[in-house]
Amino acid sequence: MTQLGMVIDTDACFGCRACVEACKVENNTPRGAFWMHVFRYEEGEYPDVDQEFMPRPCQHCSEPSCADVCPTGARFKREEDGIVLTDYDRCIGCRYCEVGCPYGVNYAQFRSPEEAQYGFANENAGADWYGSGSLADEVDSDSTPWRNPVHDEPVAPRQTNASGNQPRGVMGKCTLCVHRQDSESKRGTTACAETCAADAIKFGDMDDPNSEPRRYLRQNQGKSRFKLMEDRGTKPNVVYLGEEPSADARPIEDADTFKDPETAIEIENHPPESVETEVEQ
Amino acid sequence: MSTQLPTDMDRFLAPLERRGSRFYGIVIVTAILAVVGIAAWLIEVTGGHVTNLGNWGTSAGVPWGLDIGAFGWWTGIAIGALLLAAAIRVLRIDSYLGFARVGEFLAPLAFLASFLHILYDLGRPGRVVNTVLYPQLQSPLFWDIVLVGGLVVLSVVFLVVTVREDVSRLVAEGNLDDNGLHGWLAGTPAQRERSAASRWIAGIILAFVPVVGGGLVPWAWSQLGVNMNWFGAVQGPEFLLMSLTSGFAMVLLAAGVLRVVYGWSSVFSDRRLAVLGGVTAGVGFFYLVAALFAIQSGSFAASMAPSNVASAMTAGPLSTMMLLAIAAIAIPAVVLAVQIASDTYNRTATLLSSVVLLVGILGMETVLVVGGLTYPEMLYPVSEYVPSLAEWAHVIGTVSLVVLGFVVLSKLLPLVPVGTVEQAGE
Ligand code: SF4
Ligand code: SF4
Repeated sequence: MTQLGMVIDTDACFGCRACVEACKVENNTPRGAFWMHVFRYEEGEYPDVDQEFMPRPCQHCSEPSCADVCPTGARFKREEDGIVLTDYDRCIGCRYCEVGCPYGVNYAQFRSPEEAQYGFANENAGADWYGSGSLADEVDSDSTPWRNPVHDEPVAPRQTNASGNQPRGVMGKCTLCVHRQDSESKRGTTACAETCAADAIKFGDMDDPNSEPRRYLRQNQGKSRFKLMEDRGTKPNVVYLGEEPSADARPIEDADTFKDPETAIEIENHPPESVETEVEQ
Repeated sequence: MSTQLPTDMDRFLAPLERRGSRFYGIVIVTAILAVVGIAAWLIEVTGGHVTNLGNWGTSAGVPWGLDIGAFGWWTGIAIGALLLAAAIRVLRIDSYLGFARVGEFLAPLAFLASFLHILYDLGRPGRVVNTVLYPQLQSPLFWDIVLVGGLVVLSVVFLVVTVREDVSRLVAEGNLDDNGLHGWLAGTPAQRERSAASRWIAGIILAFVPVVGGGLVPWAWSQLGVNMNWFGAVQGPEFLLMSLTSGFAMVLLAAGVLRVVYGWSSVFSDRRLAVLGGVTAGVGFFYLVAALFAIQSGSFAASMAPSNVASAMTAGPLSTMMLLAIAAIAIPAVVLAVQIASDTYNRTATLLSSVVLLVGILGMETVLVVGGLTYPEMLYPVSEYVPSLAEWAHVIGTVSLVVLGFVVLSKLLPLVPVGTVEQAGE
């Protein structure tokens, strides 16, 4: 059996969020959706305060509660490598998976994918920041420039759409770069792991003792490790190295961090006059 | 016995003939509001966010709110109305047959409203049929569909069968013409003899609801690994009690309004309204207890609610809404209970109480849905929830749709069962 998963070393992670950006570019995800997300939080009391980071992709659970609650079987676990996928052709957008997953990794798509892209709604305003004209003009193309055609390839085993940014009204989340796993050249890699400057993300087969993540776990036997919310019975396949966030961990983000796409569009259309003036104020 | 009916009968069949300006006024206003609700949804589906909620990542916002609260509310109303009607038929409490018919009218309409609220919440409503094409036995939504689908069929069959019994008698006795819809319903003279079917269907309904709606499925399902966290065991009983309370309250309200509009004091007598009010109050108190237990055990989406969600909800931003809902359930329940206990009947108080009770239940159901989604266990911020304008439009739309359907049905089918008219003189 193969079960793809990750080991994430939270001690190595320094919170740069390059993985978040790499994922967005790789999978063309829209505004507001973060298939990979990095929690930033504080631990301890003054003067002994630490800032900590914890990247959070979909855990590709062995007992995925999201798939359990899906009424159509659109959310399913792929037998051959254990990736939990969303069949975009079958999903009815009911968001049961979003409610059923305890990790908050599901993102619904309520705009057409191109409209949801950064800068798309912005036609003329804020030209100094974002450039003027439509994105299509900019790249001189009739096709959808924001979408890598590799995601249009049907995905095994159902041969349906299940890769990259999802169509409108459909649920999406991390696919462990399924298009890479199904390719010749990039199998065994993900965009986030490949990009991580600290090499904090080890991706591979969690069932294979010789895989990179398993080797890394062996090399770091002395370190504490944890899986997220194991008591939920979802059997997640991401193992974290480092200290688990304590019950008193204080998130640094407030609600604004998870920017509503409407707000993002509003800001794009009416940006502050320049970055400097904002800083000066 | 039936030979003494005609004068009473004429009075009770009057709605079938009278179509005045009031009727057309109600039809126009409710039709417009219903269309506005559907239009709000079409705009959302075609032009952006479906519900204006925080949909981007579970714990960054509340993905479900009023729409799902209203789904549960309408399903509850339908089930409660249907159970009341079925119980009256099975137990042959003929003096309450008038209430049974109100329930029979209400149930299919309320199921339609509940289905609309589910549809409003789907990102790809056009694919809803996928739930049937690819049924997933372990999904709660699948069982919602089995429950609602099964009950839609049962409630429509029940309505047709019970109405048919009346219509065929009325046609046989010459009170109704043997043509059009009534002729079709009455069937051939030979068919008019068979009439016990309604009690059998009522029996099936009485068995189906507790098993699928509140008992076996949640129980069996909560034994499955992951779902233990998903479904607090109190959910089933809570849902059944909510159904009884809201269904009874809606029947009470409709019967009270009919009493005022048509003056049918013999069918919906003060005493009978008060008795139904008392029963509603009784189940209302049980519902309140169950709802508070549901909050305590982690609210709706227990899979994400932290263990302290109960204290978070009673002290956090949701507490005002929750306390208002509790008051809106408890106060009318007390009023209704006092009325029956003290033998004092006040029609205005009864009507007002049933309206406030219904609003309170809708509020409580919404709080139950929103609560567990507002307080994530991971490091996400606590979310806020304010229903969007579109969600309000949906609710106003479905209420209007049910009123519209009821008013139209009352012009097509006899509103008062023959059995009640026979009892009316007592
Ligand atoms: S992390 Fe959530 S979405 Fe991913 S497999 Fe587990 S339950 Fe499903
Ligand atoms: S949103 Fe789609 S994938 Fe998620 S539960 Fe509903 S149908 Fe399944």
